[in-house]
Amino acid sequence: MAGKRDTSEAEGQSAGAGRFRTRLNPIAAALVGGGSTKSHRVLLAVLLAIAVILPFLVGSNRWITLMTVVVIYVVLASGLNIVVGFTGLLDLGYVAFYAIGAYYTAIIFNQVLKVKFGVDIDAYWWLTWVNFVVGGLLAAVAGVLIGYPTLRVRGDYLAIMTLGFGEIVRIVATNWVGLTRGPSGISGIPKPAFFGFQFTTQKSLYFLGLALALLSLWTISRIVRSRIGRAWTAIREDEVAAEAMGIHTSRYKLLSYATGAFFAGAMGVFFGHYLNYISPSSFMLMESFLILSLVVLGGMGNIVGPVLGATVWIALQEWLRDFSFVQAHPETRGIALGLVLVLLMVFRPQGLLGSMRVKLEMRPGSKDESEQERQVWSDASH
Amino acid sequence: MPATEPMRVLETTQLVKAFGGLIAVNKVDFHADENEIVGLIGPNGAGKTTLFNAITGVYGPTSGAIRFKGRDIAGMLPSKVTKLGVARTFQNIRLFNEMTALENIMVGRHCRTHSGVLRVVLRTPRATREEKDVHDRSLALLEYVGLAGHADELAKNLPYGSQRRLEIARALATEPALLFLDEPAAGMNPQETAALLRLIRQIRDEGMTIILIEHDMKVVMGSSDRIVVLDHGEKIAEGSPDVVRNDPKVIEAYLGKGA
Amino acid sequence: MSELAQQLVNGLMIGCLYALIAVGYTMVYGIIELINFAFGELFMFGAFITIMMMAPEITLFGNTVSMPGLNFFLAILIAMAVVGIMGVVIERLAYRPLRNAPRLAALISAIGVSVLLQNVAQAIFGSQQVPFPGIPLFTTAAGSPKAFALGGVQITYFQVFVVVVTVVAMLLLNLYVRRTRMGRAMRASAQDKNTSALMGVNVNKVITLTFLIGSAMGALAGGLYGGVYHAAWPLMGFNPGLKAFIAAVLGGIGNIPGAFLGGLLLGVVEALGSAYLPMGSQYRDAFAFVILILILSFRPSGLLGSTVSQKA
Repeated sequence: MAGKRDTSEAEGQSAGAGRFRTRLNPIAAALVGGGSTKSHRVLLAVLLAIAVILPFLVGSNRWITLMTVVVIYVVLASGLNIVVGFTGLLDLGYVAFYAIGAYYTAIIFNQVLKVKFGVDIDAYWWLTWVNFVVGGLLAAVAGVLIGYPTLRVRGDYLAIMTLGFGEIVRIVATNWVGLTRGPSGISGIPKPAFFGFQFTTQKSLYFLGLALALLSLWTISRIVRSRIGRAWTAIREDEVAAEAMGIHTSRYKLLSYATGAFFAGAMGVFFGHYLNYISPSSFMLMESFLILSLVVLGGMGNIVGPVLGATVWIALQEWLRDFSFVQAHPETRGIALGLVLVLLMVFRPQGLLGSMRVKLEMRPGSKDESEQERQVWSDASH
Repeated sequence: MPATEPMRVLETTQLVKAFGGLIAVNKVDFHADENEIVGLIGPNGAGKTTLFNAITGVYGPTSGAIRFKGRDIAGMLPSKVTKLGVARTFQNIRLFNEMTALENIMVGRHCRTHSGVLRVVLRTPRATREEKDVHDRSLALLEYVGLAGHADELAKNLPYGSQRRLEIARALATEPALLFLDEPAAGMNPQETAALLRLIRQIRDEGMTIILIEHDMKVVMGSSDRIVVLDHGEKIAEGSPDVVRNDPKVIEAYLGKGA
Repeated sequence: MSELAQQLVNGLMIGCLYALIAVGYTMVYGIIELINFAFGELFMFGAFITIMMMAPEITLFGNTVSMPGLNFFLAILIAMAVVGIMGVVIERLAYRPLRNAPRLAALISAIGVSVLLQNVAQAIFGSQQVPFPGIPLFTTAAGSPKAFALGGVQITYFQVFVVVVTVVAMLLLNLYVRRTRMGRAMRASAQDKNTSALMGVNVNKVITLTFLIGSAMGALAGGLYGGVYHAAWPLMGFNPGLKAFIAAVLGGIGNIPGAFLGGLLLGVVEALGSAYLPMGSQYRDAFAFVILILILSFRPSGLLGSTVSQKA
């Protein structure tokens, strides 16, 4: 579904954003890497700049909360992008992995430590950080379990099967009251703390989320721009040919599910500690559809796409919420979402970013890339 | 020194592949010796591609044995067969369209590399070295098939003849001992066909064993050491190009009875 | 024993409703290989439009509007016609442009349509349940459903009606598909769209008709469902829609009798499962998905489907 390459875009954007690139280029470069189009890097640098600076410019917590939500969805969309965008597997039950991470940390802290063992959970602040990884790994295991039955199944059936799994997880969360406290949910999940520093303010939580997001994006970028990313893309493009070229497609599909799930699970842990309360209502099917929309909106199969999609949509949503009409009629959000999906698919299936693609190679900035950069910088400053 | 028996790289014994009631490959005994070019010909629907597919693992055989370098590979996953040293191209060109020419070839190197998720994320020296090696080798293969300079073009944008050559480069990237080519000259003009012929000979001269399905008789006759003829799933003739060319059964199969 | 029979009757009836929706899924999927997620929402609109035609007045966009107050049978026929047209419009706008696009695009578009319709319904009818008017023919003077007892089992007249209507609809549809020219065209298109087009079949017309019929059947199911459960609400279509698709897969996708069988089986399994398994009623919705996983793992072509081997 990706369009043709569009080099004119690159030239137009780079000149204007030269200011940002000087300071933030190393981070953008690390995320997007050598070999991608200039527009990729510029866009990411711009978003990064906004992400870091904005919290200090705005007064109200409302914006910071919004940005935290964006950051969460950025990771979720990026994780799903691995499965849907790169590997071509339509996973409609992605929210289940998010739920697993969230419930895992909630249960450990609340049900196990506090209720069963009666310990002071504040003393276990370090466990939060461990849980990011463990929650992610748990979700990854679930990803393999869920992925396994879908291996030999065609695309549409795969979608329904994954949807089913997502629903099963939600149904279990709602009904296994002994474990998950059912519809009332689990509260009392502690805010993160680090050697005495409490993450209690919105700003601190936001920056924690941002750090997690950057780490996730960096990791995803590295995995994708390697033989693993190539294998995934090959599977998406032509599974039979990929298998014939020596790629054990089953194993790599499972790896794709697991990797995508890992990030959702880790983010789920963050979500739990951010809100301090979780319930099944945060993990409805609509969430999976929403995350999918973010991936599709931004543009599948490249790194920046989901970032852009998440940012644009959540920002749009918040802006719409200011209108009283929208407040009175919450279904307008759903209508907008549905329309966006259909219109995108019919008119611009490659999403907002469309023509940009990630170079599926690990190249830590080759010599000719830096030459081009220097040229652009000098152009921008004249 | 006495002449040694050439190694039998591939051998099928009474291979059968049936789809429900349709027997596409019927008790075929087929072999290829080291460094041979074996031409596999026959009218459309004779079962040639099905034979390829059965050997390379795309289908599991219904019955019969398949041995590659003496090892039983019947029913193995295609990726495993490729890892053992069998590579192929496809009748209908199956490139990775949204990947560049270079990336397509790099995919071929996948089964000869090992870096896992952790190593790739941490960019260990070994992973970096491996990636560079993949890049360099793929670039070399690109040049080898005459596509130098097209490294960053998307596969779908390449002209038809280049796509066919790219597929060959991708197959070669897997470092096979045996190469299956399924109608590599299909749709090519005479110049492209001649270049292809040269390429095939060159690949063989470097030690490869090649099995070739082709309808273009110039290519088949001009490259094959031995030709096997299939019709309706059965082997009806086998031998040197001259012998096969004059075999009445073969003529009948292509032109029909009473020819 | 009568408890079991009672559950069977209930299961059979809900199974009929699943079957009616499943038929739409299976016909559409058979020809264009698309899971029309929106069928659940079309089912829901069928229920609402039936209510609209029956009730003396209804609240639309927050305003009360007076309505014709027709009888049930007329109302449901109107609903079938209207929703049939809705289905056709949806196909034309959201699916036809994607006929040659990658499968993923059409699927995502279908999801978009589903989400859109759910929320449009919410905008029009509000998010609360809207009561379904009583049907005089099937209700006693006291207001309870007319029923009779058969060997210890309570069966309502309406339940019988549902089963009868379903069976008749299935038979008519089957007859149509097997005996008429258009039906033949539909079967040909399902086997091979491109060749059928070459043979002179107007595939677009076939697809339009398929959506028309499938949507109408879904609307019929919706009207009946409303009659059984006495209410309609905007999100009511999602679960039945999904389950109906699973029923279609269970029976063999593309196979109309299979959809019927799959629907009935699913309904019965759900009824028995929720009655007899521990915590069964809470996990009721999960049964369908478990069945899906099992059928796709062990017999992907479905119960009545033919195993088609794939050539590479």
